[in-house]
Amino acid sequence: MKTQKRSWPRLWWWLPAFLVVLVLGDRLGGAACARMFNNSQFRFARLYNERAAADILLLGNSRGLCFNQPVLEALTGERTFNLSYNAMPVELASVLVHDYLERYPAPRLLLIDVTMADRNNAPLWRQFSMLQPVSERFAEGLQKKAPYHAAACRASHLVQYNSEVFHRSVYYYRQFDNDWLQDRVMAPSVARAAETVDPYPMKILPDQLTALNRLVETAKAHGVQVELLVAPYYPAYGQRMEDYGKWMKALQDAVDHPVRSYRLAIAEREAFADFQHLNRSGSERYMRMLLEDGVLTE
Amino acid sequence: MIFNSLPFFVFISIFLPLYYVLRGRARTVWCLLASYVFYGWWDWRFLALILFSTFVDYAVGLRLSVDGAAARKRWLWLSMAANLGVLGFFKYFNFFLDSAREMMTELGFAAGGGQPLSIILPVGISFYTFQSMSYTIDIYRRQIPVERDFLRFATFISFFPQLVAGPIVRARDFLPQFRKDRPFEWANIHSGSMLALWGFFKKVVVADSLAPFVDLAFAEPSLYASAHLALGLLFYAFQIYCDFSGYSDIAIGLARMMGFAFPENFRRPYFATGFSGFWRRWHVSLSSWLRDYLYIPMGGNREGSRASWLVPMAFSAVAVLATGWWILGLAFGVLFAALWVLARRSDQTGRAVHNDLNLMSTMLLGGLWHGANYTFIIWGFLHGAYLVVERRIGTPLVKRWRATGLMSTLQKGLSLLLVFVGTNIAWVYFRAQDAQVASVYLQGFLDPQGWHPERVINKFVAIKGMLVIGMLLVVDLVDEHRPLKPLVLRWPVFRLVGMVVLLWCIAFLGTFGSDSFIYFQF
Repeated sequence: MKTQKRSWPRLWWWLPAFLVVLVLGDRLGGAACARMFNNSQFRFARLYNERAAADILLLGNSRGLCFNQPVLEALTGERTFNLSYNAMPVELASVLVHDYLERYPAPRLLLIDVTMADRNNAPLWRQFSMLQPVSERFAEGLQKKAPYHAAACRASHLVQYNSEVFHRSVYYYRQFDNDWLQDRVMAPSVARAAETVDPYPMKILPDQLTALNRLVETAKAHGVQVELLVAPYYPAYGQRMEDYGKWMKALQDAVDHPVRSYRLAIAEREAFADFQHLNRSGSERYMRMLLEDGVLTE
Repeated sequence: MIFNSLPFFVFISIFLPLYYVLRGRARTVWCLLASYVFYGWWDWRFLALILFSTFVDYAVGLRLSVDGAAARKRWLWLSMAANLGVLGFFKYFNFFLDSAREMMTELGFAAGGGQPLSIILPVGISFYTFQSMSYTIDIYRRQIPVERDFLRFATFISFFPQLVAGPIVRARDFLPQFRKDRPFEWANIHSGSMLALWGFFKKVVVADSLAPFVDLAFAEPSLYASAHLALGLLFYAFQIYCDFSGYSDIAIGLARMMGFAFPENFRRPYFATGFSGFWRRWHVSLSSWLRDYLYIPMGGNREGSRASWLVPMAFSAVAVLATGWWILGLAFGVLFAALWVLARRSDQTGRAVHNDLNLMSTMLLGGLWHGANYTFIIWGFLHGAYLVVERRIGTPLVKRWRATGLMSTLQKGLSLLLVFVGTNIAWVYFRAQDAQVASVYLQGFLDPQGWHPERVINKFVAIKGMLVIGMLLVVDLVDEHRPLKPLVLRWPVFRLVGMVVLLWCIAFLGTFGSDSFIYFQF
């Protein structure tokens, strides 16, 4: 009891001091992160800071990152801006495109890699939580998709910046991020494994397909030319994709717009970084194919 | 209910104030009820298993305190059979069934029938079973008095902070503390919450941040280059350390907040400069349990017993039958024959042989304790082999080096590296879903072209992983040379800064959403 009595008065200063330091540090840290994000050259920072005006808008999941922006710009002479991100679902991409169209003049062309519509990645919304203060549309979506996280972000500003997306914005603080292309070539052993790994299951998700349709309609309403694409897969893997035909049919039923499939258009291992992603040389070939097929114009 | 979840924070916020408001038996009842709620949150049906162990060992404890020598032995066997029976059925039944079928097929018999049962592994069964067994064994050995208060005994078995994933707290450490009054002390709340917070940091910031990288690397190792696999393995070494020791720290911290002092379960194991040192630092409550209840009864450092031979022989036979490599059987036969001859040569060599066999048996059984899979047995075997080699070659070599007075720092550094690499090789078997995946993983290191850092995939996760490991190592390194605990207890400012920094780190770097700890599966 003696210890208890002695420690009470100490608690009266300790607990308030603890809370003040905790909250103050959190707010200061949050403010520093916000400043860093806003000044970054990272694509999503540029989007919300009036530095993303473009003629060609690119969209997709990690496969959308294989749009070769330097080559595209050289071939067309137009400015490009890529909104793709790893495992990005259509619903989240749709928020970004809407925000883009609200802030900038409509681009001439929107290229969408539609394979982003086969996954519903709700956890990815948490990765973008630093957009909460700058996008009402995103804040509403986060509230729906991850309500606890939205509340945590309001309680702690540091939580808002706890994500790989923010880490990337730190990495791209001083360097432009127009080029995420990989230089590596898929190893022969990995290429061989394409024939034995579990086939990739394409999922028909009505929510994602509806969101894609809405996105296409909105873009068209803004006078944007839309092109729906499927980028090449390494054929040994692409041929074994589960339910690809069914998925494509469901997509075309849901979205009133033609889809150009390049799924098996490139066969050489040297053009791929892995089963699902073209490397730099592969993506250059892909861009030239788009040009030859009239998707892009010189 | 898991520690890093909202329900647990509600639970502990209600539990702790009432715990200190209540006194005597009311507090014991509150503790017991809370423990059952905590455990029943997963699946209330498994409470029946805890109750079963509790009733059996309580009754056996009472009988052991009054009966004669022969009857006492029977009661002890009853307790062992009940506990190991439950553990064996829930944890090993399907494994033994599958293994028996494979062996029958290997021997040329048709192995039909005996379909695997759909058995769910009750969380923490290995931990509370060992805790309960230690009680009856200690009473049998007359090392502790019997506990006559059923409520107190039941609380010992089901005490929620360490019920699910340890540390394994023995009756001799727990019950005497439980019998005393534990008045409220801020010092306990401070030091307990600081330790628990450090545990949360290890779990949420380090272990859960490394997990996605590790999961991908081990899911399909053939898809990744050597550099990626090496980083995946390094990350796993720290993931499992932080996941498990994080749980232990939270458990010990919570118990301290309730006025209990539990022994340390992890002592910065990757700073060990020998494999025996590693086991004095890693999962100390299990390794000391195995030492006291398995290694020493088998003969320990002094002598051999039938078990010293039977256990490794049984595992060898299983290895031969499971792999179908009869040449391995021949090798084992020659090895055991050579050991037999050596053991008979002189007392000294006999002692050495038995000593090594006891060590190997203990590690093999320790491996099996972790789970019903050959990979755990291989993991146990590797550690057994490391310990034997260290004892026979490493220790004399180090002694000779020390005698020269040279290279002490270099030798320490090399030993540390060797132990870390050896432990990591064993971790491949511990983590891989089967021995084949483990061997693909290890073969992945052999490609010389795959070691370029460019071959590491998802560099942002890798960089974050390196960063959080670095933070952990800095704290561990400081703690290794100058223990931080006294500083935390003595200086309120240090405590304040420490807690605030940990909370900021958790908010800024933590990975949330994990719904399990690795050791729950054991």
